[in-house]
Amino acid sequence: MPAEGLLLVTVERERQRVVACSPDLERAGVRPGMSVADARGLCGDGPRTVEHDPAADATALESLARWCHRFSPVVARDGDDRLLLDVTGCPHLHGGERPMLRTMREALAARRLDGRLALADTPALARAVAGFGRGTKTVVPSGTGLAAARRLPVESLRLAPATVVALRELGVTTVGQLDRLPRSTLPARFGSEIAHRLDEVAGRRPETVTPVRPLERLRVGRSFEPPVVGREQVEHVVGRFLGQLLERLRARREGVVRLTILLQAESDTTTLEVGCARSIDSPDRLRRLVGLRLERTDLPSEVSRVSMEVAERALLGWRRQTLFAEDEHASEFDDLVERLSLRLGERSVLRPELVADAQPERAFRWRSALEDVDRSAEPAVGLVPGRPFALLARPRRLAVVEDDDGRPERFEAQGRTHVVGRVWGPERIGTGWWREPSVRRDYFRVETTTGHRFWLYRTPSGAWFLHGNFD
Amino acid sequence: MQQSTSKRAETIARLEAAIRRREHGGRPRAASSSHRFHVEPHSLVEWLGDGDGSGVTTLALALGRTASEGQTVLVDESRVLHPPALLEIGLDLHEGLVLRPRDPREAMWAAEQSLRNPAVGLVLWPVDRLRSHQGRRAKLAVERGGGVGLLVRPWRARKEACWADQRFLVSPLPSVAASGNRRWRIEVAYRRGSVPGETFEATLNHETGRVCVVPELAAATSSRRAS
Repeated sequence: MPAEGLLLVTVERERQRVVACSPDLERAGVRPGMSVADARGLCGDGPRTVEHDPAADATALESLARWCHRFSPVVARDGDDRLLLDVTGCPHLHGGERPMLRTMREALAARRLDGRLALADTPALARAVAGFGRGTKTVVPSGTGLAAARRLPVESLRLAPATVVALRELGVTTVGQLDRLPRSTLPARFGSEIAHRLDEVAGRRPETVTPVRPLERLRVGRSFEPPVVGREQVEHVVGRFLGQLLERLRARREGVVRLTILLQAESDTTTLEVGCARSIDSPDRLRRLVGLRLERTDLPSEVSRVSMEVAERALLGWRRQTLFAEDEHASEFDDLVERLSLRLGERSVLRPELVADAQPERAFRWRSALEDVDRSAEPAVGLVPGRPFALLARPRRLAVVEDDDGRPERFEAQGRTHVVGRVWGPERIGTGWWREPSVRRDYFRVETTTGHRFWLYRTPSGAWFLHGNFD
Repeated sequence: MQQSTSKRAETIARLEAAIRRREHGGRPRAASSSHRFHVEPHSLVEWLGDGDGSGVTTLALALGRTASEGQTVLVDESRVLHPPALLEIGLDLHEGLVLRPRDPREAMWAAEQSLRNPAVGLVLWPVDRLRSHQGRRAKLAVERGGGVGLLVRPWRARKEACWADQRFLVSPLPSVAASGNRRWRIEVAYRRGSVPGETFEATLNHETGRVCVVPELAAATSSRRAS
């Protein structure tokens, strides 16, 4: 019996009914339409109930549709829980159809959304496969038409519930069975509905979709004659523009996530980026963040034009998907990350990420703490023991005296002579021929007689280098 | 009668817990790593190490995290931090934020901001030179934030005034022959309510990432007799 989980509920005829539930509750037998009392009988009192808000769902789907413009210029809402994207001419931008679906799924996961994706010749076929197919990201080969939908249930054709019931009474449960029925007999009993739906799937009948309009660009700007001079004046203008932008966003219940400010001088333009960990609608808070960014910028002496654009926005209450826990101090930590990123720069406030690469200097990468990450993803690499705490950006050449086995016995570093007490290694690290320049190193963990530890390596030519220390 | 005594004890315990909560911003007191040696929660601790490769940073982090809860911030001004090594001492990369300030001034600002933040449990700040007012500011920041601040400094800083709650001198020792586990000698240079000069021996278990600290045994010399 699941102790946690979520029940989305609505009140119908003075009774609470389940609209949707989390997967663990579904496995316990909870189904949409069931009364909450019945659901509690199956899953206990542990799961949380949240009242279904169809308007909020619609707004979120609309927002997601706009976000999907990064994949296709034509995105349409399809019912209450689906989106249709016309991706004609787009897959090659992502390396093909399958890579495109993979990218989409990863991008959705980074927004903590799970989705079933299907790519097909027609909207009806894609809809049917996505909703009732087996996979979570399916590419239906081009030209297969109705054959690809044969095994799907008749419900996948968006038929009226009464039609589905009638078909099932006749023993017709799949699209394949339906397609085998003589077309001439269908209109008399079911009207033109079935023929239309089958034709939509096969591409014999066009289906119209109404695309969601791309997001309106939110920009303000103004030229100044005489020019704006000095930080204080720039801050004043920026503050006024911020107020205008936030007012327009507030009407849509949205806040700023990333802001771009352009300060044009006679000869050049200074671009400032302000990234936030959450959607912000407070002018004071945004002004403080912009102030921090301006503080560490060499402003032009005379600014002839100031313009500002909301580069990224989101519904109020949205928080960037980071790996940091959402505990009672989450908002204070977000504040800290924002302040540090603005003052030190986003490339100086980082999270490490391990990479599956044998070469030590390439076995990790840094990501900005303001980047979205897939919290659910498993780490690609596990613990590799025996790695030093400090890794030199450039290995330092060393003079090493070797013993008879070719292991380090004594070496000079930073004006000191180190006598080696213990050695672990060699650990051979090499890269493939395809990497230029290829690397082949024999690494040794070395402990001196004083207990200091260093990470040395020897190249095939016999040269020794210090690559790190176990500080 | 017995019931009223137990009620009184309960009330006292509740009030003590409330006082601790007010003192430490609601954070639970972390368990110490040993009976006699531990990093105080909600404190600023100075670790003075004996040069590159001494392992002082590893030791400070390994012991510091036992005394803290929440996010970890690592100030890496010299840009040498090697993330795979963090895993080895059990530090969750997901909970770590690495700051790479460009100069000591930025590093001071970043460390102070992090120390003041109640979401941050542990701040590691390797810092070579620290002026008195900077040390004082760091101390005040820790008091406000309620986490643990680890200042990793060179040995020569032992002659400077100490603003931290604890100051330890760390020198590496040759490892244990069989296991290869790393060892250090820790000398307490300053700790409130403690006698300076007290020494401990710490051993890092490479398999578990845990540090065991025990009082150092006195040298095996025969005592002199008055004749």
